[in-house]
Amino acid sequence: MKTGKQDKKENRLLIDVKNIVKRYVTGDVITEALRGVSFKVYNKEFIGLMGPSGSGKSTVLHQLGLLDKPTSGQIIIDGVDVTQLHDIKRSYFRLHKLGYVFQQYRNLPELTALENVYLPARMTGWPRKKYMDQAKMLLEQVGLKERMHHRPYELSGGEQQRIAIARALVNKPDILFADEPTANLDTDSTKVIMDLLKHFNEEFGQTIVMVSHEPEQIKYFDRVVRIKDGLIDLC
Amino acid sequence: MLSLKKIIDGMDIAFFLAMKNLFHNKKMLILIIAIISLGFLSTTFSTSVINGLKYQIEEKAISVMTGNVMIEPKEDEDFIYDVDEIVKKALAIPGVVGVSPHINRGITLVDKYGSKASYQLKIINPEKEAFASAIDNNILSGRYLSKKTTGEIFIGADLTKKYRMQEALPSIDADAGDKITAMFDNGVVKQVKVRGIYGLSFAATDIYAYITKEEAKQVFGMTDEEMDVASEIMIKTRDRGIEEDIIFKLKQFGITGKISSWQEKLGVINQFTDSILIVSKITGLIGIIIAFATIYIMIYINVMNKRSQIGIMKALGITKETILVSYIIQSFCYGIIGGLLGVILTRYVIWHYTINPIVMPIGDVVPLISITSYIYSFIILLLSSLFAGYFASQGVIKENILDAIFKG
Ligand SMILES: Nc1ncnc2c1ncn2[C@@H]1O[C@H](COP(=O)(O)OP(=O)(O)OP(=O)(O)O)[C@@H](O)[C@H]1O
Ligand SMILES: [Mg+2]
Repeated sequence: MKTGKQDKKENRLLIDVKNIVKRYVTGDVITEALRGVSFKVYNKEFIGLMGPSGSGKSTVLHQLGLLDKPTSGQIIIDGVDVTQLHDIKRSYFRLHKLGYVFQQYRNLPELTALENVYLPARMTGWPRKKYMDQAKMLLEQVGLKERMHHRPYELSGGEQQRIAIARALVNKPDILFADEPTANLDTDSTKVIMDLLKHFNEEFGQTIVMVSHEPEQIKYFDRVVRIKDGLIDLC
Repeated sequence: MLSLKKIIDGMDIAFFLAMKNLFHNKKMLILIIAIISLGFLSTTFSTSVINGLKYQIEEKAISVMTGNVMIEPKEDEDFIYDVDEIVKKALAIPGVVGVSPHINRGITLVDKYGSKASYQLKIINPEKEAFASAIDNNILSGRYLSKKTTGEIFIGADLTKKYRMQEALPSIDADAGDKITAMFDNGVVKQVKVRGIYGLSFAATDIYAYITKEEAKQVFGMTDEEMDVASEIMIKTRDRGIEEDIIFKLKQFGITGKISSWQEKLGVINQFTDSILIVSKITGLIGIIIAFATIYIMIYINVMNKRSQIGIMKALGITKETILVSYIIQSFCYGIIGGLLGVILTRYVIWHYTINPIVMPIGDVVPLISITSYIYSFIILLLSSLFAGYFASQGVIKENILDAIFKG
């Protein structure tokens, strides 16, 4: 994680989404979830991906997060066309360059908060002290250092989501993706999460692409990308 | 791409996840280990009982029928000659504890009610026989022969109504001390007294009649010189396993004739014990299948319950190979812990039945199991746990990430 107040004028292109199409085939029914979506994400931006329900926001994020492959189109992340990568490279990319936060937190129930957070860092082969320190530092940042030995079921939804954010950030990813991270939370917890994301964006220059359908969250974003019926909504 | 360091880092995470998973649900862990160790116990124990039974049957056959090594006449001759010489030479071989020549004839015994039973008659020197065979140690009634005994006969239990195990063969109603009529195969008929009855609770061994050389001299009208022949010479060794060595030395001494080990002589009994062994192998196979199925089902249920977590781990960048290895480690641990506990349990149970043998119709049976067969069973168990872990988890682990996360 970079330190110090970051200058947002850098303008380095980080993600270039070029005309991606995603078609689902279920029996005889073909759903065209994305019908040619293109947009760019620059370094240190906090982008809101918004649009009506079923418009394809999650689908976009899945493609960018390498959880799925588009039917056609290109996604260039930091100069690499990730749609062409093989399985192992994709894993490597997810581990080292991307962070992902789900709506339903999705922490591993057998692991404590600390273990959940350091798991991806340990996977990279860092020495124990390094991944421990990094995980503890992040738990401190999200305000849960005291709860680090608790298991997920002993924590509230908001707390679990903060663990998930710390986990997504532990390997200092280039981009953090978050798919409606506050949809399951009450207003207070929502504010905590949004403030945290803003904090990581502003203090450490963390690039974030977040799906939201809450108009009141627009104030947090540097820029909003709107999607409607599987297309970028330009109006 | 796949450097050694990456593999090691992957193993570290695989091991970490496996341990977390393994000890998270302790009740399940205990249940699985209990099933596996009991499966191991039942397999190895039943094999060991069958081995013990086989050993017992062989012991009895050796101790009455064949000895450890048996010398028989050359192909074209009816008798072995210069028997005294051979006995002396054989006794000089280290490991030989008894050598007893037999002359085999036929005899029919008739009890006071007129029932008849035919026996194979063995003419022996009772002192020599006592060193080579076990008939003198298994007397059910009366006494054993002494060297000078005449007019008396020592017979196997299986042809007497009172002591026989089964009713398959014709038998006579006679006990020790009773007078019966003996019809020898040279036509001589005389009254003899039953001196004793022996029995080893095994039909194959309890079917002989014995008389002394002194008695035979009278019945068959033979001189001492004419008696220096044998139909067979039974050699008893201190332990099993040195038979081939003894045979080699006998041949070195220039002893001719057909020399065989008990294994070669006991063809029919071997067939029988071999078929029991096949049963024990099948039991073993079933035990392995049970262990395999248990581990497979447990891992499969575990993996199915964790579909979405597996998807999450993959989303975080943990490779599917690492996740697969973590499940294989898990099932390997079930195998190791279950197997070790199984070994301890089996040892305990076998120890118990060694001190308190199992009472069977054939006699007391002590379970027998070799170290190799422990190791063999253990290795098979470990291998099947590896395969079960692999096959149970690979399908789910290969699944598409989004399906795993959102449908799991
Ligand atoms: N696996 C799938 N199979 C078939 N159709 C799918 C699948 N996943 C998504 N879809 C369809 O693709 C379209 C876009 O779905 P997506 O989940 O991206 O919408 P969304 O914008 O995230 O909606 P929401 O705000 O409700 O989360 C929808 O019509 C949806 O039904
Ligand atoms: Mg969605």
